[in-house]
Formats: sequence, C-alpha cells, structure tokens
Amino acid sequence: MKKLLNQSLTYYSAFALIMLLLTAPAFYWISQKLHLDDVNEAILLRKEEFLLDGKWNNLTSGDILSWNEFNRDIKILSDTVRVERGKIIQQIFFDELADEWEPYRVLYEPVRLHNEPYLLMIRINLIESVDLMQATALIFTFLLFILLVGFVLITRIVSSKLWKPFYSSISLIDSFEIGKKALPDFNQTSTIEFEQLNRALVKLISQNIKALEREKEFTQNASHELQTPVAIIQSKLDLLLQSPGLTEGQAVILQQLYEATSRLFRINKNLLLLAKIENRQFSNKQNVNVLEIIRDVLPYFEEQAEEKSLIIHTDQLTDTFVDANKGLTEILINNLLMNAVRYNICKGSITLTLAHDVFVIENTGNPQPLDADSIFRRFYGSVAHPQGAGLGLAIVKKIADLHHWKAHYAHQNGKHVFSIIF
Amino acid sequence: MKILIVEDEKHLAESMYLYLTQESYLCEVATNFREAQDKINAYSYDCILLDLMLPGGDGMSLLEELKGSDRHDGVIIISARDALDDKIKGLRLGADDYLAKPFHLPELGARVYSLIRRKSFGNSNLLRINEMEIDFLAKTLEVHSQEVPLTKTEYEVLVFLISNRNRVISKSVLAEHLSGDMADMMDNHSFVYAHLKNLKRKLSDAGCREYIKTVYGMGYRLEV
Repeated sequence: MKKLLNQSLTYYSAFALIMLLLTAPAFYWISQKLHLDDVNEAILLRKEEFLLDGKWNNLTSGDILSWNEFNRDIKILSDTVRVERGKIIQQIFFDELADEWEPYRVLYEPVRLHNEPYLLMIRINLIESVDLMQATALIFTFLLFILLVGFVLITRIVSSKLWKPFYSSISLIDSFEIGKKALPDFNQTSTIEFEQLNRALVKLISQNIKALEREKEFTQNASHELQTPVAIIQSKLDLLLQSPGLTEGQAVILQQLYEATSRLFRINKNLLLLAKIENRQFSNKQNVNVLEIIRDVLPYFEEQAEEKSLIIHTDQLTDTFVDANKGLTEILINNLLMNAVRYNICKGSITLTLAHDVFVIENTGNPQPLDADSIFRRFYGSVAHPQGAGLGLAIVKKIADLHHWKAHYAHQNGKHVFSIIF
Repeated sequence: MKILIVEDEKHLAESMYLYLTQESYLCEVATNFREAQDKINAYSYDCILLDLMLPGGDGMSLLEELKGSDRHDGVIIISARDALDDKIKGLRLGADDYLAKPFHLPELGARVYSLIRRKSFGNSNLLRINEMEIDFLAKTLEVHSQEVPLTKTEYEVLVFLISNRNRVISKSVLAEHLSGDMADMMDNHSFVYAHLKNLKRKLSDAGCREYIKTVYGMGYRLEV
C-alpha cells in the first residue's frame, strides 16, 4: 500500500522524465539548425563584404601569400583544390593550437584575380556547437533534478497542508466506535471536497447511531410489552393445573406449556437485560470481591453438578477486587458457571481459577472446539441446546465490555476455557 | 381476610382473583388508579396487591398516600418494571413485599399467606395442622410435639405447600420458588424431587400422616 500522494508523485516524475527525454534531442536539433543557419548567413555576409570592397583586385600574388598567412578564416587559394564550389559545406580542419581536428562550415567561391582563377575560402569554426550540445544536456539534467526536488517538496507541503483535514477526518473515524462515543467532531475545512466528505460522514454516522438507538429501544419496548402476555399465560396455566379431572395426557401437555412459557420468559428477560446493559442503565459501581460472589452462587451449581457427577475444583481462588456493578458481575459469574454445568458431560469436571485479575473457568464437554468468533453472539448455539436461552454468553460479553474487561474463549487440552480478564 | 387486587390487565387480575378466592380470601379488583384510590379510601384491606403501572396514575403514589395516612394494610408491589430502583423505593415507602411479573399464582399465594400471617399473628406465629405444628418465626416443625429437623430448603418447600394447600403445585413452580433469581440457571427440576423425597420421608418417620401427595405428571399437593 502506497500513499495517494506518493502515487501521484510517481506519475509526475515519470511524465517529467519522458518529456525531458523527448524534448532534449528536439531542442538540440533545433538549436543546432539555428546555429548552422546563423553560421551560413555569416559566411555569405563575409563573402559579400569581401567581394563588394573590390580592394582585393589590387592584391599581387606576393600579397596573397601574406594575406593567407595572417587570415585564418578567409583565404585566397589557387584554383587547384578539388572541392565543391559555390556551396557551403561541412569540413574538418586540423587545429595546431588545440592539436585536434575541428568541424567547420566552409564556402569555396571561385573568383578571378588578374584574369587568373582563384578560390575564395571562407570558413567558420563549429566547435561551439559541441559545447552547445553539452551545455544543453547539462541544463536539461539540472532542470530534471530541480523538477523532481520541486515535486517532492510540493507533495510534502500538500500532504501536510492541503490533505490535513482528510487525514484528521480519517483518524477521527478510525477511533470512533458506534454506541460508545459521541458523534466525532470534524474540523472545519476550506476545501469543498473535504467539507463534502465530512458532511457525508456525519450523515452516515448519525444515521447509524439512530438505527442502533432505535434497535435498542425496540428490544426494550418489545420485551416490556411481552412481559404482560407471558404473565397472563403463566397465570392461566397455574389455574388450569388446578382444574379437577385433568387427565394424564393433559397434564403432560400442561408441563410442556409450562416449560415453553418459562423459556419464553427467560429469553425475554435476557433480551431486556441485554438492552438495559446496552442502554447503560447500570451505572452504579462499587468495589466488588469476585471471590465472594463465586462463593455465594456456587452452592446452587454444586447441587446441579451433583446430578451429572461433576467435580468442581475451587482450590485456586483468591480474593480479587474489581470496580464494577455488583448485580451484573453476579450475572456474569452465574452465566459462565451455568454454561460450564449445562454443556458438561457426565462425570466431567469444572476448574475455577481466580487470581491476578483473571477469572478462568475450564470445563470438560463436547470434544469439538467452539467457534471463538461467534460464541459470544446472540442466539449462537440455541438450536443445538434448546434448553438454553442462547443469550448467556452474549450477556457475559456485554457485561465484560461495559466494564472494559476482556471475555475470551479457547479450546485447550480438550477442555473449553473461558476467561475474563479484569 | 380481605384482599384488594390493583391490576389493569384484566386477564391477569381475573387469574389472581380466581386463585386467591379459592384460597377463601375475600377479593376485590381495581383496574385503574381512580378505582383503586376510591377503594383504598373507603375500606381497609389485609393485603393490597399493587401494580405500579396503572392507567391514570403511578401505583407508587397510592402507596405513599396509604403509608402517609397511618394505615396498616399490607402491600405487595407487583410490577413488570423489573427495576431494582422500584423495588428499593417501594420497600422503603413501606411496601411489605415485591413480586416481579410474570409470577406464578402459587408464588403469589405464598407471599400473600406469609404477609397475612406476619400481620395478624405478630410475635407468636404458630400454625397447627393436626399433629403438625409450624413455628414461622423460629422456622421449625414439630410433629406430635417432637421437633423434626428440616433443612432450610425442606422447610421452605413445606411452607410453600402449606401456603397453597389443596392445590397442585408443579415442579417448575417449586423450583422457581426455591431458587429465586437463580431459576434461570437450573437445567432440570430433579433437585425438587430429591428435596420432596427427603421431606416426605422425614415427616413419615416422625409419625406424620401423608399430607403431601404426588400428583402424577403434574407435581405435588398438600392435602388437609
């Protein structure tokens, strides 16, 4: 993953490089052409000057020798040189001073002096054009370097200034947790796009918060409304049981109705509890000794454990004080213990450990490990175990979350291990 | 014994009425705030079963009114609110007991019975049924004037059955009575069976007649 700005920087740099590579030869070619034209023009101009003057007609052959001696670039040669005439051509000459061959533009113009044919040679050194080429390359390299440095600097500035609202919005959303924190306060920005983004985010988040609130409200209201019909059904069953002359078959049906009703009641009660925890209706906290709670509730489960011949190991319990809601902590311990008893096997065992701010409950049971991700979800496993309301562990998780504890499940050595890290 | 049932849900009020009337209590029903207020002002009751959420007003203010006027009517709050605050506030205001909806009628019967016994018999709260004598304060049982040692649970089972005498009490109702809030945690009700077996054995060992009958498929009944 690369940063957006670095990605655009890569494209800019590639474009700059390609442009420079393409334009450098073109620039070189054009400037060379201009230079050659210039040189050609200068040669023609010198020829005009030389011929127009007319003084050269007075030159004697001895004069021509000394002329050629002192003029480097305009010479009068005898017409014995075999070269193309009347046209500017490219030629190299040896330069004794620099001790090297150098390119020249040369014009050989046939002239007549004292009715003798001569050749007027005018030449201009082109050595500057090589310098030009080198200078061009140098300038272009330098330009490329400046451009790249500029791009990087601008990207830095842009990222720290222009994109600042964007990054601040992202970090706000990142730390936002629905149902836990208020709507994030996005910074004001003068960039239209970011303002739009922030507005869209605020809208999206508020809609989510509203939906969550409606759901919580609905659960609570629905549970409340369900209580009365359940109460009526239960009371009518109690009355029905008193009717004289109930047959055995009817009695069995009645018992099943009783069981279904109490299960309905339990589910309803637990949903209501979940909604209440989510709505943070348990705010009063106190210093709670977890060990005391375990000791209080254990007798109920020991009776149940006896039925399954379970052994409960309680020798690893030490005083542990937490700042918590006492009622909820009780429910959490109860649900975990009930789970360990209910889903245990005959002659199984339960091991409780409470020390160093960790409560661990380990029990034998189904040898298959449970799905650690979904085990704390509502109604997970309620199909396989219809006697449970399917909400016990969801409540455990909610209570743990409320107190900022960690609820954790693992399958170790064939045992199911639930731990609460206070 | 006069009981006022203040409950806006007619079907529930009717169930309560039917169950308690069979118990030879004299029952009256009020289904809204006004009606309840009128009845409370006009008569005195041994026990008032008070629903907190009423059309026309809050049941809590009826309780305040009642306790403010130096009346001695027993009050059991019956509420679907299931909020600890309500329970605490109600009991502080002078309610004698609190029962959360939904409840079983035998549970209501037991609460009413216990309240009325407390109200009417004060310090010496003894009940005699033939050879059985129960001391509700000391929580002891004597058969033929010999103390029968009962566990706490066995004693509770006996009192519950006596409070609902001649009624069929299902195992699940007994289980819920015995375990209270922990009823959710109970998987099966065979522990009820174990306690009843022990109780019946202890009673017959002490030479008590077989008052507690097992009603097959339904539960238990204490017949006197």
